[in-house]
Amino acid sequence: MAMNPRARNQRLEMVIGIIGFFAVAALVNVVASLVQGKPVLMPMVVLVAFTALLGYAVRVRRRS
Amino acid sequence: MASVTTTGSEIQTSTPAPPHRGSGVRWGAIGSYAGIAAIVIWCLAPFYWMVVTAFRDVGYTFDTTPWPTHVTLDNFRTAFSTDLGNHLARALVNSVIIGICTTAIALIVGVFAAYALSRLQFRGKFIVLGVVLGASMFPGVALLTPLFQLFTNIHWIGTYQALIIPDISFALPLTVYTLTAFFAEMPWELEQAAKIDGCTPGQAFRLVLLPLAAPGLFTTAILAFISSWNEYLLASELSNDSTQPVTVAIAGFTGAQPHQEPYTTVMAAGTIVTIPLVIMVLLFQRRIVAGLTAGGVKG
Repeated sequence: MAMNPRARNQRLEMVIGIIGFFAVAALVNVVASLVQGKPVLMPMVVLVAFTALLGYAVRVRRRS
Repeated sequence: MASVTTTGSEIQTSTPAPPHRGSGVRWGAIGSYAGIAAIVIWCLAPFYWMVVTAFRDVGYTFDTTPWPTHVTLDNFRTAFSTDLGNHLARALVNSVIIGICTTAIALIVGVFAAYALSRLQFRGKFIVLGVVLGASMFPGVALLTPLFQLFTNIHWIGTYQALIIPDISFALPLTVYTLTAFFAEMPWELEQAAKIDGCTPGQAFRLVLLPLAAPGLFTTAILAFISSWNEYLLASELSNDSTQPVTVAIAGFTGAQPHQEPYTTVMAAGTIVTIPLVIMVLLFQRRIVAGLTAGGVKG
């Protein structure tokens, strides 16, 4: 059964919020690693993954 | 229900047969009760074993008799005794202080946030709710090292605020989420009627909505208190001897001999710690269920 468009948008916004929270946490981790001179490859990969997910979710929300 | 069918001049009345009563053995009901019994045993067996061991003489700690044998109250005396460096009474007071402060602050902040999220219309409302949900998913262990570093730098290690503030960060998402569902269920007309009668939005919230939201507030307060009461991970690193809560105090119990684990004393302390929660849940169980199920059904 097709979901109500309003409910779908609300769920999408919640997903954006959740992914956004973790994307910000990943960004803070990258900045902290850079400032402290620690290896930044893995935090950067995680940040890119979350950013890509967030971008996809925002795009889906705009289309709906 | 009887039904009447007309075929030409013939009128037929058909009544459905009464439900089949079976031969007396109701396998469905038996299965349900067996399932309930299995779940109850599964959930309560560890607590039962804790209580049985708490009342058992220390010489019979590993006795596997499933009912209390060699009953004694010595374990409870030892748990409260400070001779071995254990401070359960002080830890209980600490846990109560931390729990009450955490619950009060989380509830005060959470009630306003939940009201805004459920009642006010603004862009990105559900994104904020998603962020709140995301914060509640964040693993506590990831916060341990940064918090330890931060609190060491500002000389907060071993203080109450070092234990209360992280606890609030765990209790607040729970508070906001539960109360948002509760406020969303309340009829808009109440607030509008209060405004027509001359209330400001603040007065309508304080005098009309808050009293009606009491079951939800109770539920949320109890859940926040329980989450704070049971917190161990952060407290084990951020507290010291004078501020440690019960969870940390029990884990640090020492026996009479070196390297001796005082299982019966730990079980007695566990029983003492569980009692306030059990009493609270029994007293407010109806409100808890009402509050938890609020928002579950729309319309």
